[in-house]
Amino acid sequence: MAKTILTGLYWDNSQLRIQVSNDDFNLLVHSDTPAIYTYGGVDYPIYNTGYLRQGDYNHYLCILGDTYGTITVEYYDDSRHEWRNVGTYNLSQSDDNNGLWFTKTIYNISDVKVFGIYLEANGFDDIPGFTSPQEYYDYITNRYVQYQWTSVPAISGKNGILSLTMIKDDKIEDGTTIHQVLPEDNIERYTAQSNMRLICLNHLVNEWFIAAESGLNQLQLRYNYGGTNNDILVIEFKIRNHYGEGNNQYYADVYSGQIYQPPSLDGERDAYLAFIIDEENEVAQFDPVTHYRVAESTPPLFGVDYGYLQPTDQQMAAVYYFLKGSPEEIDEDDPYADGIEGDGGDGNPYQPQDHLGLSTKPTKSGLNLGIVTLYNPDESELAAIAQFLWSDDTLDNFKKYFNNFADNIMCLYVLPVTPDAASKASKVFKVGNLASEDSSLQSVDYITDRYADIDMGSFYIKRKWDSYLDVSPYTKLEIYLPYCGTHQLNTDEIMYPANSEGYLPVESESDIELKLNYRVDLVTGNIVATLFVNGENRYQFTGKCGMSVPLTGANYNNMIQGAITAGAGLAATIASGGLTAPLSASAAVSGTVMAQKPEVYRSGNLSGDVSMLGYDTPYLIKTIPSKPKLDKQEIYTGYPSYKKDLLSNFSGYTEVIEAHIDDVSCTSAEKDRIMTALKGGVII
Amino acid sequence: MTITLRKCISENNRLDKVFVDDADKEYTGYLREAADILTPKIKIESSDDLSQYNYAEIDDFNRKYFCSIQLLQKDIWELDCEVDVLSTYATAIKGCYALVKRTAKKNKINYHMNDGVFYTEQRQIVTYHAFKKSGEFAKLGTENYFLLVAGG
Repeated sequence: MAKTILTGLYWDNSQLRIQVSNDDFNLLVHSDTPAIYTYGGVDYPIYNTGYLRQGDYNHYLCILGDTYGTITVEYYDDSRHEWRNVGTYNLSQSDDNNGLWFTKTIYNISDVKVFGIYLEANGFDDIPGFTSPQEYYDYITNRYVQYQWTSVPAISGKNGILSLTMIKDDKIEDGTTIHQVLPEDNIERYTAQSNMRLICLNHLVNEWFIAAESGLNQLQLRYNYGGTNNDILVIEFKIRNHYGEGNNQYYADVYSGQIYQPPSLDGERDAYLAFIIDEENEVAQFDPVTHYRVAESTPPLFGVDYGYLQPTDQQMAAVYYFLKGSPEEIDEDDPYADGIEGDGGDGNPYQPQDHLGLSTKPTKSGLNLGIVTLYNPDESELAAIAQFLWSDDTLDNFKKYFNNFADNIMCLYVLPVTPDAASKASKVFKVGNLASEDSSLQSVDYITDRYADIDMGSFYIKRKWDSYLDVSPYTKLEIYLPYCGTHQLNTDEIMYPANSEGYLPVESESDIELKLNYRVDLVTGNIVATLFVNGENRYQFTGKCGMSVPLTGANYNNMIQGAITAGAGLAATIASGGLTAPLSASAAVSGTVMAQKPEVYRSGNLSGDVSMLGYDTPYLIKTIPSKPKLDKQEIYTGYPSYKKDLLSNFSGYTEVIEAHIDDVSCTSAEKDRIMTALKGGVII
Repeated sequence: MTITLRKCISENNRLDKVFVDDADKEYTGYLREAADILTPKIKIESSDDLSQYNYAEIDDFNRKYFCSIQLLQKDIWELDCEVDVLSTYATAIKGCYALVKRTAKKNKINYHMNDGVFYTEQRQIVTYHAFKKSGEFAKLGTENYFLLVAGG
């Protein structure tokens, strides 16, 4: 790792420039920093005191380096148009120091470009001499909560990451976020229009209240006032992450700490929570910081003090994961994000999707209007109906009104569907206007709801390999649906169903629920089979069930003709599937030959009368590749990585696509050899 | 200059080489001929048997070398060396950023990338999974019902 020695610090209007031993890079201070510091109505140019300092102490400064060393501080002299030396300082860890604002070490970071995102709370004044909270409240009567959320687009609002959009929004408390479904939604929040006095008066002394809160992952500030030791203001930072799903959602702190305002200071107090993001878009450091007075002068000089809190490594790691999620997720979800807006490629990893449920039944069925009735007779009732229909009296009566009674007995068929008792009623059987007087037909069930929903079961599948072998073209999924035939499914969609926020499932979310619902039109026997993947409507297939019972010769001929036609279609389908099934030409390296196996249709359009003779349980057919057990294959060939990191973070067999070996001090020929070796595979 | 001869038992592409214990031999002398730093050829006079040595470290060159050794005449050995850039610069190389294609490091593997290292057999596993209700196969059609559509 290259050592980064701080050798220069340049304050140039809105930029703090740091010169290091081997490179220049800019530290951006995210504000409209004036070059003039105004105090008491007097403008003080920032360089006239001999100290390098911020022109406006409402800014956050940080200096990064992985080692301590000597720094030279300069300022830019506008009148001479040149940088002037201020002095040379030795940094040590205990420095905090002489009006300069550095002494921080960044964890394992070198060549750092800094993107500080920070938030600051600014709204309380602490003026010595207040004798009571009420006096203080009066002082702040007309002051309002001020949020000055500032950020850079180094982090996007993906899952597990601080949503900068929310933070940049003054209405941070109004975010339509997941926390609204939690009990903590009841906590009080204050808007930027909230009057501080009213806020204070509505809280007990020493009562904590939340003064600011961000959205998605709930970064909040808490204030305390009153207190002891004249601490009028205590600020507590809390970074809370959201965990869990469904009914088991909760928040937990990934970081919590307090800043006690130094009692001896005067002037406005600012508190910051600074995130420093390195060039890898990783969290290098975060710190709660406050300003403190570094010189008793007029105007007073302020520095930034990091000394009140020092997060532990565990907290740093927690914040890292809070902001970034797991490294693997970052690589996969947002591979092109570089934190620079306008150059394209960043995309938006947050791709929410809508819930698709079961369709709505048609509101009009044509039943129960006196036009047609859908009877559900049992066998004895059907026999009685036959007697009724074929009796001389009945025929005579029919002949009075109709040429053919089949016009009124539209069809009789056998359905494999159990009509729901709630959707049935009973009445006297009648045809047209002719009611049966048979005692056994005085109360015949009939259907009141034309459409029946049938739960056809469910089951869970798991990914076999949790690798690309689990998706197409290596893994194939087909589904057999009684009365609907066999259909191919999109393996990618089934095996890696995106969640409601559009993210791929993590490995632990390996159970995938497939659930099937049939909706049957009891008049026609038409079926719509709906397949749900993890509760989401993903597929709808059509079919037809029911076996006709011929009532007339015409009925019978039609039925036979229909069977012949259906059989011909089935045969054609099978033939077509077998002969013209594609020999895949797009197979990738692994399983190339396997991916060329022909597609064979299993049951074609198995529906209609003949379908009653088919298998009556739906099932999934999963075809997965068989992978030989190559023990310790990774030590011979490695496994795909396609990740960027320090080579020291890899071990064993390592093969690179490209590497930056600029910092290796060797001859050009040796660099070529190193690159050749790295690309050919080395063992670290 | 000092040359340390060693018996390397590691693969050539390993950054941190492993050597046979207690087998090092150290020779001190000076160069009588010009030597290319990357591929030096150096003669050593020694009565030791150097035929099993395959690695050298030359401090003056700040480098480590693969070497092949041949006996020119009695007690005169010639080391034909080629710089081992991986071991010489191992520390610096590990400090470099790289876009890594393949790795054996578990937490750096992305199993969802397809670059052909997962070998599969021609035979496939075909399994069948029935939809179930309360642990039983879901069925449509176990019981049948008559439906009669009549006018009126």
